[in-house]
Amino acid sequence: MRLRKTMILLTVFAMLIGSIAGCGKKDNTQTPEGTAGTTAAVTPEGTEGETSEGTNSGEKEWFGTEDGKTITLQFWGGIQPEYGYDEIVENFNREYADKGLQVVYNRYVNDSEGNLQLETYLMAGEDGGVDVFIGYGSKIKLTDRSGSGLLYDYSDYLESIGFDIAAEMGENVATEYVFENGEVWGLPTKFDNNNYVMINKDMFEDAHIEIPYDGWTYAEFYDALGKLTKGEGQDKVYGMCWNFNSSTTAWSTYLGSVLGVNHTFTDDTMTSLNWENQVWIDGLNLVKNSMDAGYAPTLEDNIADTMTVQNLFLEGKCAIYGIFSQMRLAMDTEQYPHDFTTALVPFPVPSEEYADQKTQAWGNYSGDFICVASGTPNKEAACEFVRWYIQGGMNPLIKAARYPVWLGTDMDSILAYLTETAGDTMDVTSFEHLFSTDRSSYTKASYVHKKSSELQTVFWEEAQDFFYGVTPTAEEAMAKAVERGNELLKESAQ
Amino acid sequence: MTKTNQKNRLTSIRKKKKKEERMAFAFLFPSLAGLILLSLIPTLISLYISLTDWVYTDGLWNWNFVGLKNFIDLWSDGWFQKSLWNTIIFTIVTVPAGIFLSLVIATLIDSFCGERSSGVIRIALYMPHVCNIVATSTIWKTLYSSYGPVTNLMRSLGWSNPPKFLANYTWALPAVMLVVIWAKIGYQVFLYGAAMQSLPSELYECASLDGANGIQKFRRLTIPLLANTTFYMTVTGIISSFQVFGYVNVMTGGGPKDSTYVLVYYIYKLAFQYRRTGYASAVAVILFLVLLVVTIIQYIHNNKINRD
Amino acid sequence: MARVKEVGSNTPQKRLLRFSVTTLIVVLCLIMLLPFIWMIGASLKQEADVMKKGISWFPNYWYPKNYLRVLGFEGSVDYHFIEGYLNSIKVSVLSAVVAAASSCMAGYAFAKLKFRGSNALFILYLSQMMIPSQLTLIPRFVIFSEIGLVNTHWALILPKMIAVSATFMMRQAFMGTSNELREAAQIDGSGEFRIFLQIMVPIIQPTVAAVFTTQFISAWNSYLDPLIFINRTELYTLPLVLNNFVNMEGTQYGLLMAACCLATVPVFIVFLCGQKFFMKGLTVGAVKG
Repeated sequence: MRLRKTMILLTVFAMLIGSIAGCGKKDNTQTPEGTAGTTAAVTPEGTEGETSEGTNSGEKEWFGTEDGKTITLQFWGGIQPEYGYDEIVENFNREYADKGLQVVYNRYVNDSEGNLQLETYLMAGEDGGVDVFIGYGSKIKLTDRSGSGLLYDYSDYLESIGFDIAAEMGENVATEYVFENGEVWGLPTKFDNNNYVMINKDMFEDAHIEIPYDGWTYAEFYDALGKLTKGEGQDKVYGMCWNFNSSTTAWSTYLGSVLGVNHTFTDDTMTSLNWENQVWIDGLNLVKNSMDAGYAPTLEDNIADTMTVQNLFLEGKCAIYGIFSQMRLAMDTEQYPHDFTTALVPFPVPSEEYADQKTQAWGNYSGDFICVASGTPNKEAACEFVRWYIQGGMNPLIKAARYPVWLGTDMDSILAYLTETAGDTMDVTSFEHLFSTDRSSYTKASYVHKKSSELQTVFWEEAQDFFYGVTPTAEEAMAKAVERGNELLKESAQ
Repeated sequence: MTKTNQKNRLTSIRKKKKKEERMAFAFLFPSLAGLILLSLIPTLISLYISLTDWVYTDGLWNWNFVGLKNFIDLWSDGWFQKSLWNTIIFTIVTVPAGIFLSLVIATLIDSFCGERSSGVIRIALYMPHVCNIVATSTIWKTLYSSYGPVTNLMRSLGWSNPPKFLANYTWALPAVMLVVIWAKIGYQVFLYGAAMQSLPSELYECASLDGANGIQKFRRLTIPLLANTTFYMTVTGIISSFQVFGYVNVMTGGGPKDSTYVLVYYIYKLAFQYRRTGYASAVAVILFLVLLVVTIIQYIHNNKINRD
Repeated sequence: MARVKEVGSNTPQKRLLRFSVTTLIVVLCLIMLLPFIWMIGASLKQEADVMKKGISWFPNYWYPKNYLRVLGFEGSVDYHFIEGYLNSIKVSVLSAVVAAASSCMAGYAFAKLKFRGSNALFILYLSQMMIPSQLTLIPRFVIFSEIGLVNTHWALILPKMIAVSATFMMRQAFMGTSNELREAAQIDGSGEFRIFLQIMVPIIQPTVAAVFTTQFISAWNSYLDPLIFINRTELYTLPLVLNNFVNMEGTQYGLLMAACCLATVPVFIVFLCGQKFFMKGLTVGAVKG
């Protein structure tokens, strides 16, 4: 009895000591060696000077407090530190060591709990300890967060340093992310085009299909699927796998891409839904037909067997996977051994009528928004970090397959780096095509409705009914979706 | 006995009562402090939020009172009705089934296994509780997949075209129910097993002498004697089953379509995805009221039995 | 114990029954152990093999590197696994202690002391389980940050003062004890606290061990609360450390499962130690009072 008590006490004591000791040794485990080389390759000295000519922030020599203390910024992001952030932090801290500014990276998980955590800390203001963060999702999330007063509008800062968003980041970024009254709640950092898909280049070559770098139509696409699909049962190789598993909207983004900002609403009044548009009907039929013909796994199989890039595409079980953003996995031959080359091509357009959109040049080139917390006491320092990050500081993220959206980026050196490190797994030509698309093409700012998320759910539910055969035609499915959507809109109008 | 004497005794009883009451609050103090500060206030705030159109990122004290609007909206909300209905089915099936199964399994272990082996068995049964939910749900997804063991078993049992359980409108909910029963059974067997250790063995010996067989003893002795444990398990079981969330969230995400929507899943989606925390709280209030009524009925019923 | 066994003579019929029941139980145990077996198998697999279509229990190619990487002995990344481990042990032990102490006292008051409103108060206790904890998260966060608990382990430990199901269990246990002992002690003039500590608690000491075990396990697995209340890496508990293996492109299952396997070890130990007392403990609680 007594012995047991003593033992329990001892263990508790030992644990306490242990945890205190644990707290003492913080992370000194950065990897300064090999990584430095890559940064040098990616950010050649010259480029930075050229485009940041107009900005005068370089002149300032001290960013710490007035009484000479160094400010340490808490920077939050969703990518594991080893895929570039360790290096970014190290570079920044070296560069700003004498300027009174340092940064620490905290990683959160970009899922619903992780975002809840981030938002809770943003809400806590100064106590929350978030100064700068990378937010994910679309403009909807940006709008929601700014609506709750969690974000700091850094448009004044950008103006003060002469940072012209349109010139530095592209016309379309300026259109989309400068809000109605000129506010800037966050700028995209990642060069992205969600209307591209990943393809298995070797399978295309084996089937003698030309790689559609410059786009294709549904008819050509469907034809290719027929050629790419082979085998039966467990060994079957599908032409296409629709991306139903990673999010409920990823697959529909492709179908609605040619509608541009009008994918959900017919116009900017956001009062009538555009789901009965022929583009959606054609798109839904394309998906349904490809599944019925056996060119793509059915929705039911897709859910039942959780078909992901890892277990389908990288295993060579499908030729096309409807996702853009998982290239890092395709480059990782150590964890996912495979010997084919992955290429990126635009998603097809419904018909020649949309020929000018074949390269998906109107797509949304953005992701990974860098935002400043409204509660941070170090606004100026945070803004300086934002500028540094956008203008080349983020380059080491190339390891996580993220390419800077900043126009001053030397894309050639990025391509050179890609060729060197991933040339055998990735088709660099497709990157050349992607990077060279004309980014000045003007788009209208997308519409953000309070009920956007719910509308997405309604659309997805009715689409499921169609794919499952509960609703016989796409027209009927969309009519139902519109009816339910209108109910929601009516509710919010009250 | 004189009048004053009686009066003195009465006051002393009252005094004693007073003293006992003070004592009780002393005993309850740590727990009450925790209750008021860390639990009751947040609960009351959540109840109040149901009368506002608050969004969780707006910060506390920053809400807009809308009266009963949220509760009126509930009536025409298809997702709410679907999730309430699913939750009720879920509870009606999993709670009794879980309790019955665990009672039978506990009896079998108790009757047929030695002390050491039953210890090992109990740990084995408890494993789903201990393992990470990612592992348990992944394994079940694989078991249920098109060529997974469960589906293959159905095939070999003569079901030529078994459904893809988790991807099927009708079968997804029962499939999740099975997983939840499976996950909980270890804990329940554990409690029953423990309770059985103390059942008076003389009663069982008498019953044997009277020629009762195993099943009769189970019905006439085991079940009534374990009523107290069963009470604990029904009350906590109903409450936790009404709040089932983890497995639904990881395994089906409410789908396909809305076939596995349950209340807390919907509340979660409303509060954090649709940013309608006020409305989500209204759903939670309904959940709260249902549980409160059910629990009070059980409690009163149990008190009555105890008194008899 | 073994109430049917006494009839378990060796007639062939009984032996058959016994054999079939044993088989049934073994099969049942295997079904319950599936995730654990899979976890161990997956923890020794290379990433690409883990989620292959179809089911495979054991790796084709053994890959113990996962464990070394999790612990930081190999690879360039330090996941701070050991620190998380120690934090988790500290938080779980203290949580279990707080919960056991507080619920023991409260359970005693509910079971043995008469006071006005005791039934209503008990229902109020139970009602605390009825609002989904996700919804009270933000109010709790605000209160915790007001009293300065955020970013300390106390934010995870102190809420255990009100462990409703533990209180319920303790109440049942105390109700099962006889009143005579207590009355005798009262006549001897012992104070209530003395009676509680020296007579009543030792009687139900096994239930205390039982509550300790279950509270330990629940604190060990708790995810959402630590996620919101703690945001310093050095204070992270294990479930938060596991987040290192979940990224936007998908989960690194091999590493995650290796970490999970390591994480179950203390639970095993506590469970094994607790089981003996647990079994005895619930005895008292479950007998009708």
